[in-house]
Amino acid sequence: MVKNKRALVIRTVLGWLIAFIMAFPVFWMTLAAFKTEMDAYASPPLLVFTPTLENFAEMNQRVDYVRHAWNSVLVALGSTFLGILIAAPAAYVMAFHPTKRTRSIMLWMLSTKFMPAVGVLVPMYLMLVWLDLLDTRTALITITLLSNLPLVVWMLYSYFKEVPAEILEAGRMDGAGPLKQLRYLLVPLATPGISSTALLCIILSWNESFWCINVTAVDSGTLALAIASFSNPEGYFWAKLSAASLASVAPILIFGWVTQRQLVRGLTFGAVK
Amino acid sequence: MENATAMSSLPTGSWFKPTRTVRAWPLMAPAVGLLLIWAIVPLALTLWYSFQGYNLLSPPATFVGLENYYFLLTDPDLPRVVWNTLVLVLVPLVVTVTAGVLLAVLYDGPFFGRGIARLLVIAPFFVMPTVSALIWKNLLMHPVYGLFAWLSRSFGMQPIDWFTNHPMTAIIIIISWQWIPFATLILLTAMQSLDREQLEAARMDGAGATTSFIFITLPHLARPVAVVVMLETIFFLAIYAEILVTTVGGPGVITTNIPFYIYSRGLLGYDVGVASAGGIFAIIVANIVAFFFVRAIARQL
Amino acid sequence: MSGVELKSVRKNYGAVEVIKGVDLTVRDREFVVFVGPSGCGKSTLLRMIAGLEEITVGDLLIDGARMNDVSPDARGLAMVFQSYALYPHMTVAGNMGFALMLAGVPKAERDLKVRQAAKILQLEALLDRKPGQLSGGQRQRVAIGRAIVREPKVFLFDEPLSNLDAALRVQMRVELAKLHRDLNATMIYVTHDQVEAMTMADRILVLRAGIVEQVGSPLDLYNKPANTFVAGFIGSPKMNLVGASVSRRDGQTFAFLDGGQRLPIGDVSLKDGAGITLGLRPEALLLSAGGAARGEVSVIEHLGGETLVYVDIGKGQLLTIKTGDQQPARVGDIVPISFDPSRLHLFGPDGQALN
Repeated sequence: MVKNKRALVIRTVLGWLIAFIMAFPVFWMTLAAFKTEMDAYASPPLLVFTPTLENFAEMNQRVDYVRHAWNSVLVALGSTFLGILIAAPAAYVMAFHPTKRTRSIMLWMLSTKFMPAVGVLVPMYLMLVWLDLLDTRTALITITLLSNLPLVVWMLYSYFKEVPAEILEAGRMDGAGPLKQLRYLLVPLATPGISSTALLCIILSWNESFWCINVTAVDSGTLALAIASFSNPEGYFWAKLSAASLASVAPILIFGWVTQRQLVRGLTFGAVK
Repeated sequence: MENATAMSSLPTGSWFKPTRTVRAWPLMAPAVGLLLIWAIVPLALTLWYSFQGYNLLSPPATFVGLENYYFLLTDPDLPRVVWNTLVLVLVPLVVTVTAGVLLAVLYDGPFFGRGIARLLVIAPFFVMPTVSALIWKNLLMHPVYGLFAWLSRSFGMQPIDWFTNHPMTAIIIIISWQWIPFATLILLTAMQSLDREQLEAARMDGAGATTSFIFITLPHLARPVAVVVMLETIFFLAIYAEILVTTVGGPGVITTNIPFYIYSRGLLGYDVGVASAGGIFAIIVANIVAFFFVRAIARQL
Repeated sequence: MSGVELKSVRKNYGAVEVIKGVDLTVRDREFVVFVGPSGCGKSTLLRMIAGLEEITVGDLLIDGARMNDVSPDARGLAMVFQSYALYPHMTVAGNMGFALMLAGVPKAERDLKVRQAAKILQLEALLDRKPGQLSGGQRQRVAIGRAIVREPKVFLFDEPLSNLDAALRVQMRVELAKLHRDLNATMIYVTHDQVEAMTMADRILVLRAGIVEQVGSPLDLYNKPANTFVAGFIGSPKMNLVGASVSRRDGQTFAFLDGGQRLPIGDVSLKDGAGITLGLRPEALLLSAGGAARGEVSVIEHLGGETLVYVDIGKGQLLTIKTGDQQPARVGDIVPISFDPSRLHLFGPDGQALN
């Protein structure tokens, strides 16, 4: 099997080469975060240097890292949890009690995702002013939740459909109404799909930049806002910028890597029979 | 059977009919209701303001009819902006889907350290748009201090000033880098459900690697590709942060898409009227795209 | 007293009618089997009794009370599904006790009932396992146990044995019959397998395309099939059904077979030339001289205890003959065929039994 061996070598080389290229920008940013400003601008670029934590200390003086990170966590978890709570019953109905309209409702839900945020920014902003919700986590959680909701319904729907209807019918015979079927049967059975949905939502809301830049400030701003506000005045201080970038990306990157298996397992969107 | 009578005295659950169609609305209402509000209220307000001459710096609002739309539609920059929007959707779509398919096939097969290589490949997906734009703009593509500039110089070439001379290409590279992992992830998941026996049967029938890729793997990936195309289209239509951080829409309007156009013409000038008219325009464009995509893809769902 | 009564029950899916008026009274402690080919509506009918499908027209009574609008769990029924539909994330005990838990039965009482049911089904050693760790037969038992624990008025079975291998199916068949005796419960059982129906039922309901073809005890159906469909469906190997036409000569009535042969039959109230169908069970036919017809042996199947001989009686019409003889003939032989006239079934042009 010489041919197989050669294929393995080619695969290994190619696989690692592409992996290296794709990850390189993140790697390079990580290096820069630990360089002095002088080293960051050095030509030829430095691979070996004396690392410093000064950039992180300075960043934390400029923006309250902990506060922004905490906001990011709350917004991501809050919007994800509420989103699944609201979407699951709807997905249950669509998957197990479909009517002629189910399909149109689903397509309509997805079509709301096509509404460009920038198109409704002004009225959203004004509404938040009227409701006195500007720069609150409540507002950001609500907006993130709503913009992810169609996706959540769709994903849950496709996982629920994989659960055999007979199991839920057995539940009905045993006396479980819709909510109990959800709680005792569907949720435990669709756990891989639900966690995959949750992970994707957490990642999307952590990285959501448009709304948080435009409707939050000091109180409820997430890390996406922190890095955006940091980028202008500090644009020419690459090491500090990289440190701030690393600090805002690292939590979700590590989280994503750790949960990668669960995330991947569920990313079928019902597209796989 | 005394217990049987105990059973029938349990709550009969009469609030849902004993039919296949469970009373669905109480369960659907939260999701559907919230999305209705989310879809309609801001839209109605946007429509209202698009007929108003309303600048936040000089209130109050006055009714101006179609003036905002007239201003928008007669703007000589508009065709270019629409074109840019389409380019920023289509080119990254082609790039990410093609790369996604190839990478999915590559990372589906076994090789040394595949697990770690996979982790590295999907890393860009976790990086927020502002940060990835900052990395590429400064650390990599900067014409003097960037890594690419140094590479060019060490090969004796003139460094490329990406954001001055090839701004659109630069933005497309950044977007593609961010979204290739997403396509790869979904297609890789799909690859795992590919029936290995089909591939073996094809090999028995004398199909080589290329033939079985074209006739078995690609058709198997049709549905997940449709999913990727739809989701990415949604996100590509709304590209904003990458432009804001790198080119600010320039030079001129060469890298301005519709969202950024609305931002720069309307919001930067606090002109609520023009921004709202632009918003309505963006919604119309998005719905035209959505109409075609959702139609084409709905069959795949 | 736990009877089930169906009164002119119908079911429509949109414009399509799938159950076309069923009347049936299942008596207390009776074992009734719904049998029919796939797509005949037997599972739908069962699911209508269970409450999983809406009844479009007609009434369902359990113990005399109208149940059309009562939710499935409150009808006092338990159902065993074809796929067993066990809850994969719960243990065997959890599966069996789920209904009681939902009903708010205290844990101690619940455990007791689960143990009792487990004892009946010899599942005691498996109570802590998950369904995934069980064999097909064990899963089947758990599904039955889940039904027993609820102490229902009526047990419903939806093709419960179709996922088991042949040997296990025979064993479970016997156990189910025993269970019926021990529990003294009313059972309604759906299957497409006429052997299951014949062996277990007190009464069988034969369903075709949403219409009841015949209801009766297994032997009634075997001895007096109401029409060609029931005749062909009940009994294995299948009854031979041969097309013929009526002809009278010298005061005697004959049937002219499509293959060209002539058989004397008892008098029928049909005109000369009317098309009829003769029904002869393979076990009613004999390979012996003095026979009414003859034909060429085309295939012989040796089953050991019995032998099936397929005889061509002209125009490719094959008759199946079952005999205990291990070497009754050889392929290619021309053999005489005879039968006991009292075991001849006659069906009119509309397929209904004559007499």
